[in-house]
Amino acid sequence: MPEPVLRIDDLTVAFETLEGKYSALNGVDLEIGPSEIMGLVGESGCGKSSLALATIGLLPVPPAKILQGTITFKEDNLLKFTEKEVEKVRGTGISMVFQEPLTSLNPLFTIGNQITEAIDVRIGRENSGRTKTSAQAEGVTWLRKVGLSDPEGAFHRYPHELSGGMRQRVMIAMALASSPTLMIADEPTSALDVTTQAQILKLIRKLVQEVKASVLFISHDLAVVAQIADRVAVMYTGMIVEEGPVIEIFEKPLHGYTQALLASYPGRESFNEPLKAIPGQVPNLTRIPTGCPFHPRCVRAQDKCRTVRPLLKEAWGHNVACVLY
Amino acid sequence: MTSELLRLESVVKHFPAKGSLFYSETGTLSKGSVLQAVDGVSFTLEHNETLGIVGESGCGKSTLARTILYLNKPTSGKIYFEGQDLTNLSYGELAKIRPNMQMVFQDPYSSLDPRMRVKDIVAEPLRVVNKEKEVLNKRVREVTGQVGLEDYQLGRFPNEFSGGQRQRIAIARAIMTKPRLIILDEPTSAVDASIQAQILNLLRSIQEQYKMSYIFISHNVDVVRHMSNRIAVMYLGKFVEIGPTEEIVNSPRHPYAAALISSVPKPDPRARSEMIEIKGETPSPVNPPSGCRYHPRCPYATERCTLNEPTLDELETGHYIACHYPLKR
Amino acid sequence: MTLFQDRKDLVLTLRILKRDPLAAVGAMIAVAFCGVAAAVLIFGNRLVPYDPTAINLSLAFQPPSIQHLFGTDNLGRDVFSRAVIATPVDAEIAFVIIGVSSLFGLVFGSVSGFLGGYVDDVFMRITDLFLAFPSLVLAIAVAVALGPGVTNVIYANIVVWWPVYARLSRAGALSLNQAQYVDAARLTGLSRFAILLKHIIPNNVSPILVYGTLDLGNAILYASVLSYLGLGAQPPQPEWGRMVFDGQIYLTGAWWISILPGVIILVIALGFNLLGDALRDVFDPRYRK
Repeated sequence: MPEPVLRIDDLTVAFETLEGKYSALNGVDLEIGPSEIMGLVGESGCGKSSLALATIGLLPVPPAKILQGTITFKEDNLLKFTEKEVEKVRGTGISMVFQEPLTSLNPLFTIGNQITEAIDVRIGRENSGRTKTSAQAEGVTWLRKVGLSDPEGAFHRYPHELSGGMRQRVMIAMALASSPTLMIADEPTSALDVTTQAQILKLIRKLVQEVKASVLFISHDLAVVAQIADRVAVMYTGMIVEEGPVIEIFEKPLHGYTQALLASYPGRESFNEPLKAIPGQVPNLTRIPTGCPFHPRCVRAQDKCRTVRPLLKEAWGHNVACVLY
Repeated sequence: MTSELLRLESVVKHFPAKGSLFYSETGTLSKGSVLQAVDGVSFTLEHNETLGIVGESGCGKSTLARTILYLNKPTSGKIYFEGQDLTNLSYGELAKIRPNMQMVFQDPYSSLDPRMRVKDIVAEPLRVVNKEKEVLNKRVREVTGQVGLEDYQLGRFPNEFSGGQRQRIAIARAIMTKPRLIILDEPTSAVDASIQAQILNLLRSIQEQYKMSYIFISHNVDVVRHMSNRIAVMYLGKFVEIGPTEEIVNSPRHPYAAALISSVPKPDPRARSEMIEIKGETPSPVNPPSGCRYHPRCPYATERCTLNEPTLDELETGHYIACHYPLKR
Repeated sequence: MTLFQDRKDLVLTLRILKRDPLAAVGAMIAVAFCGVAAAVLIFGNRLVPYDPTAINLSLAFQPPSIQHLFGTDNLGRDVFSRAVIATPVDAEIAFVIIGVSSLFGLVFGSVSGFLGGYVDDVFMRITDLFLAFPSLVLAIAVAVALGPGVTNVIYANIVVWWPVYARLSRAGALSLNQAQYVDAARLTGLSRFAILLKHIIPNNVSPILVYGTLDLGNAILYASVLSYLGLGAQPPQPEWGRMVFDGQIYLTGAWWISILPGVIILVIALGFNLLGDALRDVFDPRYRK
């Protein structure tokens, strides 16, 4: 078994808000292997963005508080790093692609400026000689690689001159140009049209193979994750409830939440039948139910589920957090 | 007296685009250009029918929705609702028709007035017509019960509710006057997957009860397929294909429709290699391409496609397509 | 129509006041100001230790002491008593100015932004006309034209104040025009007048409220300046700005006659500024959710 690139152990993070204690992450366990695309699926408010931010060290602390757990990246616990050390990891070891590229790109600088910045970071790490033209040439190559039809022209343009899909491609180029070990993509296609999304997903798959990077691909959309991930982790109220290879998760889901989520998706029902909706709502993270957080909505819930909080453990090739296994 | 509920004839809606923020690969647009949001849409809708409209951003579906409801006045073309021509009606005459057509908007966070209580929000469409307190209260209770809200929630403000609950409130408001037509503009795009199923089920049960028609707009083909009898695919202000749901979804004949439907991700990891790729990006509606608007991105385009704009012709019964070279089955 | 949407806004305000000491100070000053003004209106001269208009030359120029907290002025009047009695004058001026200007500006701007087209153009040109003049100069000019007296000071200031509120409301109305709930209201067949009254104006109130609170401090300053110039309250009615003017020739000797009323003006204006800041935070979307 190769060493995981990223390992998160029992990560617990809470926010102090005006409305009370907001438990964003409740004992998250996750492992990402080398050259692996891990799809993290969860609905809004399940904590997936907090997880991404915590990994890359962008959690606003305070009001967030890391109560316990470790994030191990290549044998180092990121949570114990100083701000300077984390900065070094960012962009070289771990890079990130956000959902809304308009706000993640600096509107005052050209695309070329920003992508060569990303390349410089990597070259700085490798300590090789760098000339302006070689970084520019590499920048243009990357813009071509991500599918921009006029890479030289785009190099000199400003973010607002490009469409949403193009900007997202630039973000991906920037994220991968620094040869990261892990790329975190937080809902990278949610703001895009369906056809553009399909193109971007294909692009990501192709490029990360080339660069040999691992990806933590976060999405609320099960279908998108099905299209791109090697493994899938399902998140609910700040914890991972099920994790496993993508085909296993979609064809033989074990956890009640995963099953219900898959069953509620239209397209598997005929026109005239009602969808199998999950009763109730996602609980507010200031008031998580006791025991298993999904038990109030689970069709297979038993008495035990109200009091015992199940831990993630192996069963049938998956990792599941359910007392039934 | 026609049996049709709604009829659109070559409806066009153009906006003067002075200094707007649309940019395309070819650069910014100049002042005085025109944004051809909806450029000649025609179709009919029967009673108790659901027409789904799929398309991507910039195709004009939201503008079409607003124009049908006369929130925007069409630049040209005709709209007939229950046989009546809406074109030259005054504000007051239109107001009389409004109770029969309503809309559920996309964003549950901005479709409810944050300063009003739920019961007042829901009551509003009926209050305009009938101010009697008893009648209003009774109907408000009726609809909120139908959408699954409790009595005690009526006195609250919208910001105390989740996205899914807000959509329920919006739906309750829409059915207050028992409209014959409800346009739903991406009603579940802003809510989670688990809530989406609840909302869709609710919409279906309401439709069965009131026998109303829906125009269901979404970019999610699976959702549209679940809800609709017919589907229209929209691109750059025009319908490129319209027909029965199963035909459109299983064997789309227009290259764009085919690409769009294949691009929609399915929750099935084995169905990965089936995506048809489209090259390039959607052009701006300010400068649509000549001839067939899809030709710059279509792998089958010929010279004819750059010169002649294809019309929406009936290929098979009830299945219309605007393409010079429709795909084979 | 509720000003604070629900208890949440109120709770949020109290929480912010608790957390931010400056905001709490501001709130206290504002409350004290209003409280004293109200008290004076109810109890009149009985509230203060000395008759504010009682002239007693033998007691003139006493420095601040336990007997006379703010000392006495050139005519032997107790400065503290005069300052306290002066409170409702400025309170009235400030609240009426801001109240009327903001209300008028709210309606004017909301109509302008909502209706758009010709109406908007004309209304905004009118607003521009008023904004073209430096406000203090315009206020003085109008006050001089109208003559001395508190009411005229109020009129003069309203003329100068309303355009900013109109601008603010118009901006708000423009964005509200796009709101989906306004579309939903249009779909119900409501007349445009009704939509304006029911949806646009109520939702436009919060920025006005915040700005108005911040502005109260400024209004008090302007009122004081006009009185200082002799245009506002007339003797023997005490008024802070007037007191500053009257006492300035004695600045080197009996500084307390001028300085202490001046300090009061400063503190009140500051208090409203701080309170306005806190209110802005309450309505700032970042603090919500």
